[in-house]
Amino acid sequence: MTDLPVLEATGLGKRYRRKWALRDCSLALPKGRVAALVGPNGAGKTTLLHLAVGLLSPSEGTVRSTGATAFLAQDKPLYRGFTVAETLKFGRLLNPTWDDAYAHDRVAALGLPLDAKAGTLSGGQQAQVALTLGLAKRPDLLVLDEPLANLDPLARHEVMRGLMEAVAETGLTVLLSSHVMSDLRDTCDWLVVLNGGRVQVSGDIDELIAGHRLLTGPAEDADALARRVEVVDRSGSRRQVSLLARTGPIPLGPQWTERPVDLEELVLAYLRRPDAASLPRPTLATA
Amino acid sequence: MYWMTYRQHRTQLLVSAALLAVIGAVLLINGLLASGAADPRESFKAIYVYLSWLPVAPIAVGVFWGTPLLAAEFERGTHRLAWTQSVSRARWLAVKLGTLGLAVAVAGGVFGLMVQAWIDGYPTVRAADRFGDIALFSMTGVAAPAWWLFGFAVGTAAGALLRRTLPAIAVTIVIFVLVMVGLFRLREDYAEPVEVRIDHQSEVPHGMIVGTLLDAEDNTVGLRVQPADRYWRFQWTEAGILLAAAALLTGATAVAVRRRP
Repeated sequence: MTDLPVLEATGLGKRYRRKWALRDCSLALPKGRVAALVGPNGAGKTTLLHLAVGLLSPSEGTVRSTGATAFLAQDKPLYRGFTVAETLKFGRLLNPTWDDAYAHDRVAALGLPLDAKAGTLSGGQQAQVALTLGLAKRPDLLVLDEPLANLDPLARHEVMRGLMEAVAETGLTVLLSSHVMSDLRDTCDWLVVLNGGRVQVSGDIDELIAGHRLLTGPAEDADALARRVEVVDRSGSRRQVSLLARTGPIPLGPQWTERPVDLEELVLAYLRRPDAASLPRPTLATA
Repeated sequence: MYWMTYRQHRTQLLVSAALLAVIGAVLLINGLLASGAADPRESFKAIYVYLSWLPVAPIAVGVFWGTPLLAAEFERGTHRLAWTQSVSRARWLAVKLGTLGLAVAVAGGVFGLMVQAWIDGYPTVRAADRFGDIALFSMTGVAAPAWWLFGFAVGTAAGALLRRTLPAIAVTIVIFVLVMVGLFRLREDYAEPVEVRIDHQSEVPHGMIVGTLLDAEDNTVGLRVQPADRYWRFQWTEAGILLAAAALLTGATAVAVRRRP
């Protein structure tokens, strides 16, 4: 665990003309993690990923990655007129670290015909070719922008499985953005929540789940409880409320019940409350 | 990168080479037949009717080579694929513009040499004048490759700045035609013309005739002429203007590429 973070951003910001797409973004992604970057549309996810891979240069702050980085852009662009073989040749000629045997083995194992033009392949097959292109560079960090968008459930599963196999084989670090939460729970172990151009949450998913509870009880006691624990989100009726709180197991009054939260509840709670934040040290408390 | 450039643009390369070969063959056959023709003027005119349209050939270079070079990448998002490999964006652009620009210049130069050789086949036809004829001037010498390169640079810059192929094509055509019309007018003033006195018996002097001299009764008594020996001076002037404009446009292209996420 003494490894340097594979990706580290400090005070990172990007401004387009007058509007900040990303502001005050600080996060560190430890080696070997599979990190999910989630947030509503326009939260700055793509901007953050483009900064991470060097397609954009920051307006303020720094972003640094150790080792080689591969990137799968949104919509998984490929040269449509290139055959699969030519696409692999493109990767080989443009990358000194290219592993040609791995690339061809992977394509063969997936049953992709080498002489088929990329434009004629299905969405799932195109995603696999794009993923092969990224993986065969043998990167230390693979960044994927919405890799599962526009894929049917089967193809989503296949792409994620391919990604997980590569992670298991090589200890690759992955950062992927997505808005399909259900695909992330089984595969990702790190969560970054981006909202309105700011990082709200960055941390280990198991620790985050363990560190939050959903507390349900009578509304009149809620304020007293809220003084004892850090409440992320509050919902419910006039009589009964649910508090999603940042806390471990705590003693509660007899009228209160508590249960663990799932990942989706956790993310939604933070997204509903842009002022709340759960960040590792140094904790950036948002005013 | 060189394989990549060839692979992405081989259709344009092959089609352009084929078109050049066809034009060359037509000019060659016509030129060979000219020596045996009863009236070389007719033989010349038969081709000139079509050839005189080809100063606009660089528009095709701009549209088919230039505009898609960057706009097609931006439209499909493939620039993000290309720019996140281990080749820097600057090198990617330099190799593409360098190799394709060289190919365009060579093609334009070959075209110019073919037109020149064809003109040389008509030593007795007065209209076969590479200096006095507005179209032939643009299609010979160093002006020919310069015009082709300029067309390529306009198309590339339009594609880079507008990021979409179709609007870039429209803008390329408009800008090219405006510059062509402008330079065709400006060309007469690359140097101060010489005044030549003529009467009914004298032969019209060779060169670029840019005006007439009138006496008090509005009778033509002379011509304002750019003498034929100024051909190369004018060629280099025109090529210089076009290449400077192409360099500026390429600079704009480079800035647009550097800023594009």
